[in-house]
Amino acid sequence: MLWESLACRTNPDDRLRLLLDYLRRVPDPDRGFAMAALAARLPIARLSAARLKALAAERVDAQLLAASLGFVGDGPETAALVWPQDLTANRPASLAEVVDSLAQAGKAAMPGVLAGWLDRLATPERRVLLRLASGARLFADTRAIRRALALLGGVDQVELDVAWHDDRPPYAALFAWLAGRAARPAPRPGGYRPLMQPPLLDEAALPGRDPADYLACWQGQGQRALLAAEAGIARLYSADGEDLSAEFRGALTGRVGDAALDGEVVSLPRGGTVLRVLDALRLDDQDVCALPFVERRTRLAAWLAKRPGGWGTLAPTLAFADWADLRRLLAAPAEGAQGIVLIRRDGRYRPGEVQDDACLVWRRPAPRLGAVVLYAHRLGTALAELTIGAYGEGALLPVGRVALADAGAERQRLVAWIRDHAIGWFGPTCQVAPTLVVEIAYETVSRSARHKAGLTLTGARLVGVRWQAPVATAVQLAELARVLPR
Amino acid sequence: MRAHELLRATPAGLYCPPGDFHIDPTRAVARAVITHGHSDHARSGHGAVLATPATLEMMALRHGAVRGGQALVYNHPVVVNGVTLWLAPAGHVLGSAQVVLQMAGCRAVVSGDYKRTADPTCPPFEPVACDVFVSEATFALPVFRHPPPESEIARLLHSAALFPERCHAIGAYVLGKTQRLIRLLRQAGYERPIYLQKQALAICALYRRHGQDLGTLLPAAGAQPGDLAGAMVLTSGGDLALPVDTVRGFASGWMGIQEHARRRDCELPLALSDHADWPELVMTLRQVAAGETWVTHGRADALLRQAKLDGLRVRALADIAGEGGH
Repeated sequence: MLWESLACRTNPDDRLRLLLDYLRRVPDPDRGFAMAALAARLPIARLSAARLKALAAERVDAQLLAASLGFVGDGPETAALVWPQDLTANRPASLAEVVDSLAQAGKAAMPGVLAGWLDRLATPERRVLLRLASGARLFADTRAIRRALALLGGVDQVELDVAWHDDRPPYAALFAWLAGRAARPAPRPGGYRPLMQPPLLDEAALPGRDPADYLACWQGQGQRALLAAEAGIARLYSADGEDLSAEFRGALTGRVGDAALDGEVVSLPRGGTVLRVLDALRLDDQDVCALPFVERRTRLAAWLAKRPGGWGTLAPTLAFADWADLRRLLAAPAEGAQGIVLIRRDGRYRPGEVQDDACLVWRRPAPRLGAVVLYAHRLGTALAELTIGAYGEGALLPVGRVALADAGAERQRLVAWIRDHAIGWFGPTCQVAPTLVVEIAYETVSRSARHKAGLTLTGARLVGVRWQAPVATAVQLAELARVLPR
Repeated sequence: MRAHELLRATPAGLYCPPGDFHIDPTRAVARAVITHGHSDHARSGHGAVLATPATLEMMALRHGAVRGGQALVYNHPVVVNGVTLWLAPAGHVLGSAQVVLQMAGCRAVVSGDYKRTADPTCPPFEPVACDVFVSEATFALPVFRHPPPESEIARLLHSAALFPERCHAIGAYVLGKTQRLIRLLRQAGYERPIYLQKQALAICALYRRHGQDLGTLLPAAGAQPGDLAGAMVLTSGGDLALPVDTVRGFASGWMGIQEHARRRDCELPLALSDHADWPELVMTLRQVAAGETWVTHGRADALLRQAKLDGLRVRALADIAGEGGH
């Protein structure tokens, strides 16, 4: 039920309130398993679409199943709806009982165990179980889960994030800590640590700052990541804690020396990747977070110099005398850079969201244009994204996607417009009459073989709707092609 | 007498030749028997109309005075041109009825729309044994299993309690669904005023005359957006100024399928229906055990298959009407 409520709400505050309400109502260990289910961290074997169909066909007549699937379209949803509930059977005592038996069942026995539970559950529960078993992600917003947990226990978000990543379902140690029954679990060596999340620079406040207090580096040229190595085992985590190690296995093997490094995984022009290291949390067995940035950087440079030819390279600093220099650099940024990160020379490394001026991101000004709405897409349950297009050779061609959430107060009106102007639905995609121009801010125009237009807008986001603007005022492909990098 | 002599599918709808009247005709006819007040069943312009008192009042409310209206209470037989006719409760909305026809040892039942789940606004469906049973098939697929109404109301009230500062606006069909939602909310202990649009208020007044206690109802049109913060509003389309942070819900049997809720961009889908779901349809066909069931209003394929599994004879009314044309 929690998931269904969450899935229908797009407002982040609503989701947080629903999660908190659930966490306060439901006892252990069920609430832990529920959070794990939402975050796709349950150890349940996957069932292929064909196995799932075969399983449903054991309970429901094949012709009736086919007619149902034809109507609903989605396999797990259809199976959840048509599965006949045996009202005489005992309901499971707890979610824990269900999860335990599924996790312990081998691959061969799992479908049988699953079917046994489906007989004894109601539709909303069957829906969740079947989605999990089919490998579908229930809920993309894992940050909301971690925020709700921190609020539940009234604990620091950074400490919570570490404990959440270190613990396993049903998070007994974590919940004991949140309830005040136990001390904070000790962070696992080599585990995930939240990265420093600097606020955006307010240009109006620049005159009050001394440029000499800061070092500057390009920011946003690749994916932000944490390299955490301990006892010869290196792991790579995204800023949000997702384990990327499998993706970069080749780069990580043979890494020696213990460290926790903050950097960006940057693609090299001639193929391959490099970790451009900006900062260090730990070098060998010493925590360096409390040291001033210049000291950390000196030690980091020396540490990297001892490992030549390694995956990590030191992110170069930018030369500047005053703020005007940086503004000029931002007007023509390095390949792919989104902006400049400014770090106070004397600043400590503080994980999580930073609220003062120890570290700031100066985003380059995003160029804007008008584009035509072509399609609306469902993601999860609500309309979430728009495909926007530009005119080229007499046709409208897609050039990018933007999140509908950015429409803010205009969102509801925009959704109503989409409903009124829908031409047809193709699964999760709704084609609309191409008559509306939206205002788009974007980072860059890049070449794209996947787009018919041959180019795409990177970092595009919706900043407004030009309700009255005729489509002829939208951007032309030729204009975009002119700003493509050579 | 054989069934097709008593009841026949015609372009104007079901027709009883010996009685010379139509049932829920799709166009204006000389004499009509109407099962219930929904506009796809109760059209205007007939020469004479026979229906339950509540249905006649609904027709008058919607189309003005009903010409030749004859009110007939439940289970009270009358004879029309030699055909014995009575109305049995259908459990769909207030005043909804099945039409039972009997002549020369043959009995046909036209159920109109019906459901088997208990509804505080109307008496329950009564199965009548017969030779021909005409059934609706709005939700005739195994994927439709409406949850208990109480669980849907509990979800609505949980959201209202969790978001006490926000308006909850639930889309609901103006006749039947709206009044049932109000009664279910009252039964669940919700005593605050409920805001409605003008047309819904008029129908609620009619329900009240039939003894339904709906509690305090207020016009939504006259309310300031500030009044609606934290309030419950039932809407049936049309313009209505609602607060920006309104939680939007929709009450319909289609909401049981997530895809439908998604397409409506609905934050609070309530699977609440006045039509029989799949288990109710299958159970009813077995209970009535008619020599033959004719299926209309919806899709027939799945019911045809299920009837074959159950050893029952079921035909799509559209096919029967097609045969009549040859």
